[in-house]
Amino acid sequence: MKSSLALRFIFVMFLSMQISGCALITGKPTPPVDVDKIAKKTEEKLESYTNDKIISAKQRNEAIDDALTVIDLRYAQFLSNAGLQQRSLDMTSDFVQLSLNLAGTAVGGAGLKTILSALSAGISGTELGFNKTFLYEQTVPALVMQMNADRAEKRREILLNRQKVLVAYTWAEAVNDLTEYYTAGTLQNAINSIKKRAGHNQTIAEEAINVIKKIPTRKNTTDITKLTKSLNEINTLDDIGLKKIKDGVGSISQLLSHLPNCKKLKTESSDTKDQIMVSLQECIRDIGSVNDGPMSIDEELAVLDSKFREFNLIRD
Amino acid sequence: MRMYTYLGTLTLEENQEIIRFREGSALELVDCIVSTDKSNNPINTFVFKELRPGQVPEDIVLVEANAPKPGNTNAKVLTDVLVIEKQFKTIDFYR
Repeated sequence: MKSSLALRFIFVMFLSMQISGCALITGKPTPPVDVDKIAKKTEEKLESYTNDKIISAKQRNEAIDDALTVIDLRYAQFLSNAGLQQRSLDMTSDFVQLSLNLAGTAVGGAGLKTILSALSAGISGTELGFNKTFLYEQTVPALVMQMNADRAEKRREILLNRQKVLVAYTWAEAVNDLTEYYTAGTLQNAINSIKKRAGHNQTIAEEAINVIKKIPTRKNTTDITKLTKSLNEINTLDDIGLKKIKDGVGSISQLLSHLPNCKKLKTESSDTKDQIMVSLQECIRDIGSVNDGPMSIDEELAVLDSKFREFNLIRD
Repeated sequence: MRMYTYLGTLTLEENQEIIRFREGSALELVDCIVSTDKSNNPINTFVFKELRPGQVPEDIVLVEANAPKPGNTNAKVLTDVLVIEKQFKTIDFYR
């Protein structure tokens, strides 16, 4: 029985992979079996299963195996269906409703993240140049990957439950799981699944978003790099040199009070060189990041340059 | 991690300068996220990992995907999508 199930599973999965893989490229080979014929036979068998007829774990498992076979065959058929392309295009509006603006921050793969971001950016009414070909080429493989992942997870659960005795896992419970397994192989589920993962981070990210308007120049980059590298000089300072910095950071805090990490600059006499380096580096990282500040990037850099010279961190 | 967000109206050169500028403060680019702001303007968010204070990575060079490797760079370090002048572009990042 086990080997029969294993063989059946391998065969269906092989078929599924063959068909889905080809559907994502172009065309497909003729399936080695008549999917409709097999599915129809198994479906008829499935209809005869009712709670009162399933009286042992063995019978339940046979019914589960049949159901899994039908669902897998239908899934493979679904992926191979040329209509998948059209269906996914038709669902474009669903993406808009999902408001996936920052979903990219929440999903793992770079490809998927980019797709979600791109979809959101592209469909939100901006003038972005994207087209349906891009949408299809990028989204369908991603959605299929999501469906495959969700199906694999649900299948694992079912196979674990399959080992239980009948009272611990009834046919009714199995049907419920099988329904969820079927649902996992739908486009809508793939979208919902992605949305679920994205939702939390999206809210946080949208609130925290700050679009920076100040654009740095090549000279700004040279200057900020010089400031950062000069921090290494702190390691060479003696106690007197270090005290000079500790006494002087207060004035940076005042002059650059519009930059959060500069504003909170203060040192204790017990602060180590490492702690001072970290505080000053944090302040440097804030340069050019506050739009409504009173200074330009050049001016903010000039303040730090002047102070770093006082601290003997920059000597040229 | 540090994130800085800029409008998707900027040129490739401006985006390159932005990344170099940010990396000039002991940061290293690890990811780019294309999205929209609340007004539906396309934006690029650059995600950086923090390096030790005083450390600056090698200069990064941005080119459109599949363009030849720029001179004075060793290897491609990232491929990602950015909105450049309101258009999606796949970009290769070299150092």
